[in-house]
Amino acid sequence: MKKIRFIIVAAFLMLFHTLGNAQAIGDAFIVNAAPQGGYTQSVLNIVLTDTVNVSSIIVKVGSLDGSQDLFSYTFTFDQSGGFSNGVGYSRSGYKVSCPLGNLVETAVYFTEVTSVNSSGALSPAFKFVSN
Amino acid sequence: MKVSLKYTVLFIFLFANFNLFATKYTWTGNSSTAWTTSNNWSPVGVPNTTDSVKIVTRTNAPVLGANTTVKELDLTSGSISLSGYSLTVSNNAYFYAGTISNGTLVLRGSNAIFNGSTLNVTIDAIVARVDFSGGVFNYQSSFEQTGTSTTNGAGGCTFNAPITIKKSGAAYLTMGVSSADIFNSTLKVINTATYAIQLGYNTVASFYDSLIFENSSSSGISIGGGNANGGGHIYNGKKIAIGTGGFTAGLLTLKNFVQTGTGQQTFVTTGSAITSLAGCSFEGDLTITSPGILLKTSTFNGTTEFIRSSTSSSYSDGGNVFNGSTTFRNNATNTASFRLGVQTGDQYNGNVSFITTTGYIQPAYSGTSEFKGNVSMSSSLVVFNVGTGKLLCTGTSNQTFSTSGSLTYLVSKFAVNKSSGTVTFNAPITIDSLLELTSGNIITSSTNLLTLKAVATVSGGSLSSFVTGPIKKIGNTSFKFPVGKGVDYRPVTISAPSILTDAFTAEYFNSAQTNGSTKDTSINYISDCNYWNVTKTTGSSNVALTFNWYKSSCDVFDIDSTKLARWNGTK
Repeated sequence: MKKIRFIIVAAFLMLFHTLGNAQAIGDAFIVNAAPQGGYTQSVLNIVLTDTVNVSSIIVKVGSLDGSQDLFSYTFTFDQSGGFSNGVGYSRSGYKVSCPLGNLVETAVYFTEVTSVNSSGALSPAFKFVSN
Repeated sequence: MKVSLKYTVLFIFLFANFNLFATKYTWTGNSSTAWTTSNNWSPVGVPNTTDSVKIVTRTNAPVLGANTTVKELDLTSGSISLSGYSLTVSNNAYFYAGTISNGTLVLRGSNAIFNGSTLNVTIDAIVARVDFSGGVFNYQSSFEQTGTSTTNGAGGCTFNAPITIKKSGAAYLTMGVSSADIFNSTLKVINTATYAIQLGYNTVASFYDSLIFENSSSSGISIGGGNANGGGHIYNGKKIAIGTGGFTAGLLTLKNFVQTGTGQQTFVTTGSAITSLAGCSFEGDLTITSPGILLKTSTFNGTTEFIRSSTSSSYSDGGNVFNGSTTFRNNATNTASFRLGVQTGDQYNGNVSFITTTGYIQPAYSGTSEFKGNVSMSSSLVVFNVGTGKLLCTGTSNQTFSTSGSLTYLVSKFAVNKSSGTVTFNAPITIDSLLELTSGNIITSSTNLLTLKAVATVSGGSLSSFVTGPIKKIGNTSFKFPVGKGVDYRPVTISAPSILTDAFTAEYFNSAQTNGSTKDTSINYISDCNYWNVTKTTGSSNVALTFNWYKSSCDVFDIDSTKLARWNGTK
């Protein structure tokens, strides 16, 4: 009985450990080109704190807090192709560069970046607002 | 059969009522000016609460004799006198031209369209759509848009009395799309529903009195939110303020907004609100307190303070000019960043202070940020090396870099290009990648040491620009210390240390050495002209030293008998 209890506790702890292990986003910022025709070419730069056990990166960009009306995409980690509309992905070490294509020009961009590990656990969202 | 008759009567009654409802009266003034005289209308009759009326120019203009209600009003030309009474329009009101005077106009229902009339009345409007496409408003009035259809006011309105514009419906309320609006009295703008209120959308709105904002919407209030021609101008030191209802969410966006006149401008937003300034200019002193603050290509001419507090980071694009004394405070309760100059460097022409306790402040993130005054910081959370930006000192007076307590400036790139004056470090500075010396000297000390990391390089260094005081260099590459004193530039070069983490410190003195007078027998006389202090600060590498020196500076006439000696600890 004690053995079973131990196994259950151990399994729970392992599961908890895995779920809680999505790598935090160290930094992220957007660089916008000069707007043309109401659109701006944007590149999101992300700095990861680690590259181990990162399965995907969720990016949301909105014109209002909490919205994703400008851009929403889940980048598979080290995805090499399959993008459209100017979207892209490249990584050098901990630095990830993601062209987001043409975003609608707006006064303020609310961005949220989250990493997902192989178990589907999410990192804390890295949020910033930029202009 | 009885039932059929009953329904027939009812049908006739309803039909009659419908006809009554649909009646559109046009003012003729054939008999007099009295609103309630039948012969003054076409068709003959007196409009009741379900009727529409159209007013046009006639010899006799209509005059109200009592409080009156109609369903629709179309003021096409001519004038109406309310004689101190109220005229209520329960559905649609159109003001294309003409004048309405002397009373109160109560507008309800679907539309209030202002397109050219002169309104010498107090207006109380609560309607689905308010369209400001022209008109002169001479009395205190309030307008509330409640509907969910966007309104794009063409503009061209002149408001000569205090005005309140409120939006409680989930739709845009836009003004100044094609002609500029002029506010000669106080304007209060209130948004309580999604989608923004947008003033000066494609034209520059003029404000000659106070501008008061209140917002609880997730969208907010903007000035200049349309194309590049949009914006606003508040004159004569009149104030921008937040009303008693607060600005608790959404965006306060000022784009191409100009404030002229002296006096303190203070506005405080709370909750989750973001204050965004782009292409703005403030002549007076300014204090902005807001959870999020974003600054872009704006100029601040007075004493300016920015206080942010959001737990989400604020990244300002940059390109701003701060001409007065400027303070940045990050009051975040977590490590959220107040990042400045993310894409373009800023210009600080006055003194600047960076104050924080928990959140980061990251100035000069990218490009080149110019500093012409003194710089101070309160915390190790103020860092200049997160990005790749260059910190360039260009002030014509002496400049200082100071801190509260014993802190170190962490800088990516540091440059000096001053036509006069020096830069004094009253705190240690560590440079990651570049020290650029063009014109003007840097003053350091053993306490306030300038340290260059292993990958850092030096550009420049000359009689016009060097470091007065010690420099520490970490790394395993040869390095020329750009040191000097007074007017003497006397660099010393070390060969490459063998270990990356080894460090050497060098300083030049244009005075007699103070180690002692004991000398080797091969030396007859120790010059009291100058010396270098080069020390191995970290590690065990041995390096070769090369000194730059001018014999004329120490009145040396016989260079062949001159020797360079090293103090070995005893002689």
